[in-house]
Amino acid sequence: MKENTRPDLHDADGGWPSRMSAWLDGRLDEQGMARLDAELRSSPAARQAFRDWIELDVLLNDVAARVDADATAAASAAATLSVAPASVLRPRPTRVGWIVASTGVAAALAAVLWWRNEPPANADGVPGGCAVVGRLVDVAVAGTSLQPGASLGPGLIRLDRGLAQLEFFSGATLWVEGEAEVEIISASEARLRSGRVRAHVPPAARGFVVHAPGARLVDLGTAFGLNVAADGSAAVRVFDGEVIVHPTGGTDTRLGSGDSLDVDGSGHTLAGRAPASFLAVDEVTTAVAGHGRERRAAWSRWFDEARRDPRLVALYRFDPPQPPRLEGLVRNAAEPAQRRRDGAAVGVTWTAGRWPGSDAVAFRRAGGRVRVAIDGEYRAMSLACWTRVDAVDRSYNSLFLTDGYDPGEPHWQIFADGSLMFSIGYPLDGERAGRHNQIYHSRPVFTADTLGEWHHVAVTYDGSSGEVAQYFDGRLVGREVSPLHAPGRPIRLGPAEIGNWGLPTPGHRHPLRSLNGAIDEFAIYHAVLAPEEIVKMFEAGRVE
Amino acid sequence: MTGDDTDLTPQGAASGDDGPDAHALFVRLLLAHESRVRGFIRGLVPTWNDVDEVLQQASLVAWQKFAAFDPHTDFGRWLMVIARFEALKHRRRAARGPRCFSHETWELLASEADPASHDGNRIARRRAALEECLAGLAEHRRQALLEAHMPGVRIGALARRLGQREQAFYKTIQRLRATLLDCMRRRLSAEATT
Repeated sequence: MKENTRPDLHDADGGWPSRMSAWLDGRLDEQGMARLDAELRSSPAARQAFRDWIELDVLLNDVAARVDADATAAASAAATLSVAPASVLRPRPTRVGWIVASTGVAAALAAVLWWRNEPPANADGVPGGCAVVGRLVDVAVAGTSLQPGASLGPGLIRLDRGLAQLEFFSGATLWVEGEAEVEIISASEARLRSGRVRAHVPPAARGFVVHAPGARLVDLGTAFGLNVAADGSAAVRVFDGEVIVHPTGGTDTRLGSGDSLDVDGSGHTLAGRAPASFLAVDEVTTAVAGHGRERRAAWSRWFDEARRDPRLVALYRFDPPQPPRLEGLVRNAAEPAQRRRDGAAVGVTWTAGRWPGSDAVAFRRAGGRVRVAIDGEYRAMSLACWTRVDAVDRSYNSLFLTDGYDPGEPHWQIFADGSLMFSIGYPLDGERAGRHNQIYHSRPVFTADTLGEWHHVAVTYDGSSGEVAQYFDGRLVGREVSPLHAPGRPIRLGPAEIGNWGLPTPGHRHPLRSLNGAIDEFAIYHAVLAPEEIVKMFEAGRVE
Repeated sequence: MTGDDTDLTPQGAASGDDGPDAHALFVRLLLAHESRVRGFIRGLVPTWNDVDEVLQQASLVAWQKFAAFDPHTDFGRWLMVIARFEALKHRRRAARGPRCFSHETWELLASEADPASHDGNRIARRRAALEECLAGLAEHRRQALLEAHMPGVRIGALARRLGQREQAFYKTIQRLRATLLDCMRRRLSAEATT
């Protein structure tokens, strides 16, 4: 083979592709190996091709692992997963877990790592899980933390206080009141070591098992309460339906609606005990509603202050238009009022917002969009919104895109890998947009665990330093200075869209960029917001 | 683009202590660069099992030396230097298997892997290109190829399950990979603008 030529694609042994493939799969014989070795040694082009093949192998393994994970998760989760199907290009489940374990720092890290709520991976690095975290009211957890929507694998949860809803993949729901210790065993089995729980078991989850220190409870459908006291004694009451209690030291008892039973820690039935106080429906609903009201009031106070921020360019809240709905007006809520920056909703639907009774704008159809026109030239910019991304199903998924892509116009989107992507372009004279775009990616944030839930996203761009900082739920997920940055160039918005791309660059390969999801509260500032301000915005607006 | 580790405050590592900040920083950096370093090691050892072994060893060494790491430099590149050394040790340890390259070839491969070519944007672009090219394959072909790349899958067993002769099936897989590479090359070269 000659120096610097491409490897021979069609020689007698099936050619380079065949050799490369066989090497990757460990199927290359000695003769083929000698030949490959010689090719690589003599030709830089062959070595480049070799690297391309390896990269393909890495990428394909990533994609395949994810498809595999999706299939496994779908099979085990049955129909109860509220997570929308994601694109095949979600980030690969990481294999760093064992590295952390092997470096012996796992324990020290537990408190600070950002992936602590990700589902545990099994031997194949595939996310597994038994349950997802539902609603949380004023919860404090010992050791780790709980996040709504996070998957939970087998393990112990120590709730110091508050009320937590655990939705098992089998379909059963446990409401747990702190202080309590609950161990998740599988998608259809849990153990209460102490505390009060209320189990709801629909027909699909019949056979759900809850262990208490001295007994095993098998639910044949509907609802029961279980209290386990510090001495290990357990009290059961069936609210509705039927539960079979298997005390470790006695005979099975079948409890029907309204029946209760007390069992001590070693499994002996206790008679004549005072009726226990079980976790009642109205305790749960009152706590949830009260918590929601408090959070919303806190947010209202923040919003009234935030709308008067002099750095605001515009702030959209997405209240649905009032009847008779002749126009899709989206008010700019910033004060003093600037009506010229009001937006227009086109082809969108209104959906439930973060708060009970509040609204958000949903972009489900490819044509859905909120059009705005923002005048002015700026030196810095911050964009922030709440978004519920249902799926990352395009190469680029719009949060905020200016029409076209003219010099100084920012584009804010979610990239195919789930990362937040902010870019701003300053093409040279006579050149098409693209080559000199400053592009910034966060780490991937929209993954199976975060899709279908409300999250706060924000980006700040400093036109003088070229630094972009990206935030997800108040946490910094990317900070970078683009090497293409030149100071002092203005930022312009002009006509732009939230949730879509109004005027794709002609001939662009990715014209479709509609968001599959919903947006609530979109804010544009002409300044770089400090990290503490982003945190404050997130804390004020979060529901749980 | 610079690496994706610039979201990290350097103080944690600069102190070089074993406090939780250094731990957190280390693991975050490791996560951010894992993929890139795995790709690098893959070119230097014969199997994915070897990759995991070398990466694990390299990570251990990196952690032990983490106090000496300058947080203003590229962690991925630093880890690759360590990984290269560990891969060499691994190569010496492992019996000269039939799939080991000659020393000369190995040195060329190890020294030419350009760390800059592994930056996040480039990988993201390649992923996007791969996704599009995969979407262009017939459904049954795409599925067969992805199944062949799932963890622990043996091509022979997969061929039998799909009712095909192993040799013929393997040829198909080889061709699909070559097709994808061509497709990605075309897409990426057409992608002068985005």
